Amino acid sequence: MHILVIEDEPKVAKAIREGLESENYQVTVAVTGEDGYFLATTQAFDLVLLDLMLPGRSGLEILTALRKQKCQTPVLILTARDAVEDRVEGLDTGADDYVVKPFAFPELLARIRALTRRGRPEQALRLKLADLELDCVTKMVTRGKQEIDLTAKEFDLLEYLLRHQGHVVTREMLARDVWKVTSRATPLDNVIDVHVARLRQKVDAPFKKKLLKTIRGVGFVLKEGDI
Amino acid sequence: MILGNLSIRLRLTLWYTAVLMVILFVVSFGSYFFMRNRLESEARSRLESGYATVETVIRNSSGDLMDVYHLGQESLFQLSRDGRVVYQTLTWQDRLWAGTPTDRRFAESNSWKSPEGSLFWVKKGIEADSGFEIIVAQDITSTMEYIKSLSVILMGGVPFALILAVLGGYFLAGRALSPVKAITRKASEINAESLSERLPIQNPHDEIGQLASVFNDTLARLDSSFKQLRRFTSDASHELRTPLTSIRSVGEVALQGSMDRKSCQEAIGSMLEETERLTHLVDNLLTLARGDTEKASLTPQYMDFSVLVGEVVEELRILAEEKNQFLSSDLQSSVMVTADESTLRQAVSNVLHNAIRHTQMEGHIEVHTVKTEDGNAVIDILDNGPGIPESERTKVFERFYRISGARSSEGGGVGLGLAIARWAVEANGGAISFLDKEGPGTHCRITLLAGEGERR
Repeated sequence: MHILVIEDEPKVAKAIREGLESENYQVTVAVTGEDGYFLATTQAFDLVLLDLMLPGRSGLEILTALRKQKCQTPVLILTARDAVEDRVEGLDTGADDYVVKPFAFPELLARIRALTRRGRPEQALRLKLADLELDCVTKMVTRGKQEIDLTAKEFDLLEYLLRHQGHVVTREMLARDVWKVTSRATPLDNVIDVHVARLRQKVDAPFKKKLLKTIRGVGFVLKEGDI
Repeated sequence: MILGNLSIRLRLTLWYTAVLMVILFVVSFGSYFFMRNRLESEARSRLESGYATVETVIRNSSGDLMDVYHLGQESLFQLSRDGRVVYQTLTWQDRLWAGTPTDRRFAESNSWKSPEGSLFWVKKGIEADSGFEIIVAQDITSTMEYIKSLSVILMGGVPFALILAVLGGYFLAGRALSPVKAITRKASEINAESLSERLPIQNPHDEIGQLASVFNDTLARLDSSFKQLRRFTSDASHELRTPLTSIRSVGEVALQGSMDRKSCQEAIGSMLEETERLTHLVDNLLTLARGDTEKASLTPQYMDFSVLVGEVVEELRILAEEKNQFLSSDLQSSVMVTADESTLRQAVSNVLHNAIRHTQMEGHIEVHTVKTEDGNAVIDILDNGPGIPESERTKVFERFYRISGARSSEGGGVGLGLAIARWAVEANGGAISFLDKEGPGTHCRITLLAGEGERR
């Protein structure tokens, strides 16, 4: 999977490159809009990560030019401006999704995964990790032979974590995808923490092998073994 | 306009002078012509009546001159027949001339000038029965002098009065404007550093006094918003600096220490937590800043306030459960409002979260929604926690305001929750405040206007 990153800020570009490479993506970085446009039109990429604030040609101009060239590569916008108009403008110009700076890296990864598998959604009805199993149809959760009784919210939370198993899930992602709230405020963060704690109480506490882990300052991950 | 460049004082004087000039000219010309007409017509009527008397006497005496003598010596008249003077009164002889006038001028003109310089008006005619030619003269010297002196008085007096008016007007305008000068001087000294100073008010009831007090009110508002801004800036930088300091020192200490994987993760996690806090803070500040510039893109929609409140209560119930608090709600059905859902949810959520946070373990929290008689939607959030002192009930809505000693930044709160709640409620045309409550605790009320039709 080959990703083009058009980002002028060296630290951010380096972090994205290293983060993506450790997830086994192949990464090419362009530091100016012109370079990025040249690369995007001359080589084949699976995804373009485009910063909107670039020196010289702005991200939106590049996007417009790319879409005019009938370039269909998915484009994920990185923007520091989270004003609604900017996001809408980006999406209208032909971007597939956007991430607002400062973004959480796990979130960026999740968006990239979503974009690159777009068109073939995997909607498994039974989710499994180690001896933990979740059935989306019967709403049954078992661990080993033992049935676990979850509230509706806890079930949604566990389903989301299972679908992202092995990957870190941030509170932003949970707020948006599980609680369906766009503007995230402090109260919700606390609510999420309590729900995760209760879920852990039910899913992990009685068992020897711990699956739900908290990654301090980032979020949560459902994973076998150490982080 | 040319006058535009002049000072108000000069302009006032010029206007005043111009108006006064017009009035003076109209009045003096008017009285001059009126007086002249009046005097002239009086003189003329005296001439006419003199002539009529002579004529009547001659006619009645059928040419006997004896009767004419009776008309007295003061009259001025002459009788002649066939070009020969028959009779002249004594005064005529004294003042005009004796004998037949040879001068053509006297014969034809209606006004004569005597050798001694007096002016006369003359009326001539022939009495048909006796054939006498009658010439009556009337001395009008004093009348003419009177008219002349009147014109001299007016011609000299009007310009003199005008000059006095200019000087007086300039002086008076200066006096009237002197408070303005004082205000100008004072106002030019006031700047951002000395906003607490006020303009002098000599008479609070006149126009200038009113202007000054309006200006002072503006200054007071400016002063308070400057102070608020200054406090906000220092609070904001303090709040920003705190996580920055943590990040920095945690990083520095981690670099010094032994770099095993565990402690590295610990340090990085701690730094990320602070980053999270910073992000939150900046997000909240942005929300408020956008609210300030009225650019918040609200999309008001018609909706049931009770449903929204119910959702928020259920969402946050888990936090109350954690503290073994008793959270009850009594929500009237279909309390309709027209408001932006997301901001309103944030407001209710912040207020309720506040109540849960500050109420002790096993406390009670109640949420009520009700539609008032005048159709407004009201939500009351009550708790039996420590409460808010009355003096701080409006201040708690200020940014970064914290009841002294009440809490540090426990639970991630930085003192923006209620500020955002107030912004959100007000942006939706509502009001939020803390009310008196029986017993301990707080009572927060949000009132939204009735939900019919479109607002904003």
